Amino acid sequence: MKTNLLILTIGLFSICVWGQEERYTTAMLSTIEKMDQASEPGELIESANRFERIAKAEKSRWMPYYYASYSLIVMSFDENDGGRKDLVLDRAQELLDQALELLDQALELEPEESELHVLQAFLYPSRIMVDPMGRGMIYIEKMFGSLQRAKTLNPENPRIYFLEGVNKLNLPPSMGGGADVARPILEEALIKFEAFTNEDPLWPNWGEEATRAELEKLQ
Amino acid sequence: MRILVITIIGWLGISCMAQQSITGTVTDRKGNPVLYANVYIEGSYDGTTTDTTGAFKLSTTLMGRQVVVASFIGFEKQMQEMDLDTLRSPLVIILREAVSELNEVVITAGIFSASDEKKSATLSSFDIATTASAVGDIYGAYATMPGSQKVGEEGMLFVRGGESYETKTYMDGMVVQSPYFSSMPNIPTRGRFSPLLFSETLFSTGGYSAEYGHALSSIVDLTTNGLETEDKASVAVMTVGANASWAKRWEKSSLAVTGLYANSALQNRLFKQNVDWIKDPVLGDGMMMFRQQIGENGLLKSFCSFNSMTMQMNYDNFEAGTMDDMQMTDLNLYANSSYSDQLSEKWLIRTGVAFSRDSEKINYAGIPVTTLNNGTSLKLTFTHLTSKKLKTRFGGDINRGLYSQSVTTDSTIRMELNDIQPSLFLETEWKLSKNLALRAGIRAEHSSFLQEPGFLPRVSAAYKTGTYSQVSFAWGKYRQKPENEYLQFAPALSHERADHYIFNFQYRKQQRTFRVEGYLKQYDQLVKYTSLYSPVAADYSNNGHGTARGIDLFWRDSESLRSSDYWISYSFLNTSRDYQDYPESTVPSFASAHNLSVVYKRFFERLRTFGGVTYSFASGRPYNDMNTPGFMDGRTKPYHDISLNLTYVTTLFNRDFIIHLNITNLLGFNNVYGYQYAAVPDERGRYPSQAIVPTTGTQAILMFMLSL
Repeated sequence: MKTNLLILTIGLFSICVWGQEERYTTAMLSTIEKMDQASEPGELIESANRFERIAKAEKSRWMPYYYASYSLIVMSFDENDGGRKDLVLDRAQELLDQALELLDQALELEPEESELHVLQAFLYPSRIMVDPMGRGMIYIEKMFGSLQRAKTLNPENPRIYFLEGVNKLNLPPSMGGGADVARPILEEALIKFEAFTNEDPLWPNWGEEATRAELEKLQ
Repeated sequence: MRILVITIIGWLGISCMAQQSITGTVTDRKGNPVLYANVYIEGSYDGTTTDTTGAFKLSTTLMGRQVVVASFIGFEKQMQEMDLDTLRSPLVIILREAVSELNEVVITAGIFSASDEKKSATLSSFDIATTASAVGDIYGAYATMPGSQKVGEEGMLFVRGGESYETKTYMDGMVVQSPYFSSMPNIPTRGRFSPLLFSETLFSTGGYSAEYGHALSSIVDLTTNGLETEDKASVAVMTVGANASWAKRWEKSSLAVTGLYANSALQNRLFKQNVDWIKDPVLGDGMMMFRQQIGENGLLKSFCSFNSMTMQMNYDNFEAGTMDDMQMTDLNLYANSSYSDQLSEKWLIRTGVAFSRDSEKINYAGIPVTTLNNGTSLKLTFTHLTSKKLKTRFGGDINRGLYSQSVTTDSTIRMELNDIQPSLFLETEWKLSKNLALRAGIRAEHSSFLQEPGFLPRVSAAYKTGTYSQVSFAWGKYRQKPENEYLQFAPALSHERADHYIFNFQYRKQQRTFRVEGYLKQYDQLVKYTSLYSPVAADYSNNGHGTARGIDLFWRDSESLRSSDYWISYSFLNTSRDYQDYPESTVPSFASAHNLSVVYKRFFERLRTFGGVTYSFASGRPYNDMNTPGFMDGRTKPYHDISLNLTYVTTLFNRDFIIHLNITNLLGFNNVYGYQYAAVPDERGRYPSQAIVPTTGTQAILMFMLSL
């Protein structure tokens, strides 16, 4: 009985301590799921808020910052095609600044992570949307710079090729873009997506579906 | 035993799972609900997001004293320590709107800034490089801003009724002695530096900060690029020459080198010239830029440029009725090194040294005139970030100028001026509230040559009148040393002086900006002389004076038209001055009452072409009609110009290939800048006259650029 009691006590105690690692993973997984299923901007902010809380509590982990930033970037895409253009653009701009600030914090913690440079490249197109004439040239260059950096850190990261392909697709052929240039890059992205594994269940996994969708459009 | 187990389980369960709910609402200061705000307990996962009514319900297992945080994008984070055991819901949390670059109050009186990073800027360096009428010249681009006058025969900036010498150029904090290429009479010049060298430029039409001195009317402050972003190289062939550039980026440093050879021979054959060239202008130019990042925030910048220019023409001296041989050679070296760093959380430092050497040889009708201008500048400034609301800058600079001119006729006459100008400045910027900013500064200056200390106070303020609008005000005292060409004969002259008063209203929302600015500038102690180049000191005095007042309007819209951007500037100027050899106070010959610029740019995606058009207008300028009794009572016809540029981007050998075409004065307007009169009247007693006209009518420049 005494042994049983001890086991029980230890068991219960570990449920409380179980916290740190497991609690983090569970909270992240459920928030990632929520984010993936978000269908309106409000839900994305809610996810961003949750990621931010986790980030603040954990302090030294870059992933919650990464996801908070990612949620806001995705949200800014939605905001842009909304009806109340003025309000939406105001908000998009503020959101981007917040995302960048979060990303900067994450970069400080782990500057050598390929995924963070990919996210940086993912953010720039939104910047361009705010003022295409004034910012286009500068941010296109910055974006491909970030992708290049990400590639040197981990050439197997499929998201690099996904973003590179999509952005080449949107670029006029005169500037080294177009469907013919983009297709092989997107195909390479798909191969990398299929090969890509990471033991961390929280590891970013966006982009594969979108790559398939883009390739289908190109057929 | 069983009871004990249950008790333990119960107890552990409570400490693990015991939950309580905190409810409340988040609002802004006006009581409007803040949607989607993040409400949480610091250091924990426990938190929630407000709903569409600003209400929240926060569940937590934490107890005791905890910090409750509410935050949302665009608001300042609100933190409050609370005892969760005794807490009484519902809470009302009020968030203050955060001061960001977008809604911050910024002093804008007299300032047009161009920046690729700062959102408060009016222009970007790309805008400057793509303004059609500017043909890639920084000063040409700023000539489309309100406050500047079109003075086509000079090509320099003339600001708000001021002479061209009243505008000074700064590079990385230090004054540039010879920012323009040397030229000959009525041949327009341009800036020595390409706009692509600068990530930030600032054009102030008055009321500028105590950091800047030696300028009576205006300053252009250029900040060179930071580290190069990537390795690149390109070659370009133009109808006016060839250009090659190369840049290399290392982990923490970068190096960029550019070489340019320009020759107007082809251009001068293709387009009929109003100048009788003997030797077409030839320019050789080399530039080197090195950057080194030091530590986390330190940046060392070194810039060096060298150029040589020659030209020769038959100068039509209409006054004397002769055609005289005139030739010019100019050699210019400019080096500038600066270092900036963050010393601690509160202290920033910026320091630099610059060196320039300019040697200009003009041979006019067999008489050689050699002018040497050597300059050395040292500068050191500190910024103390006392708080978010209070910032103080102070520092000083020393400028040493060595000027000499020698004229050889039967014998050689050589004049020399050596001047050391130390100065100190102190300036504080205080944001009293979210809506009100004040800036006050003082500049102390001395000149070893003029032996005349001066204290120059400057004050400006800005008040936000709405979310998108604000008013600004600036006042300041300015002084400038008389030009060396006068001082060499009259060393007892004093500084010329000006007081600026500026009132500005700005409305800015998204990509639309509207500005209106009224100003008054009072000049005093302007140099007067009885005849130009008189070698007699007594012929010079500081008895000149003048005023300039006017209204500048600016409208820019980058969002209403698809893929397009345009701006419209209009300036009204009412000025008169009594200076130089004027017999009375009158409108000077460089001043036109109305100036208008319309700049339009568009990207044609399908055609892969970027196009730009500018239209410039200036009302007639005064000239002294020798055949009428009055002084300066003639008026030229108005000035018109339409310029166009097209940039076609494609690939060649798998590399970026750019074709660029720039056409100035597309419609071939016959512009007249003024008139020259013969010194002696003809047999009927009338003075014959000749119009001062542009060197050419319509002109086109074509460029092919291949990136390697």
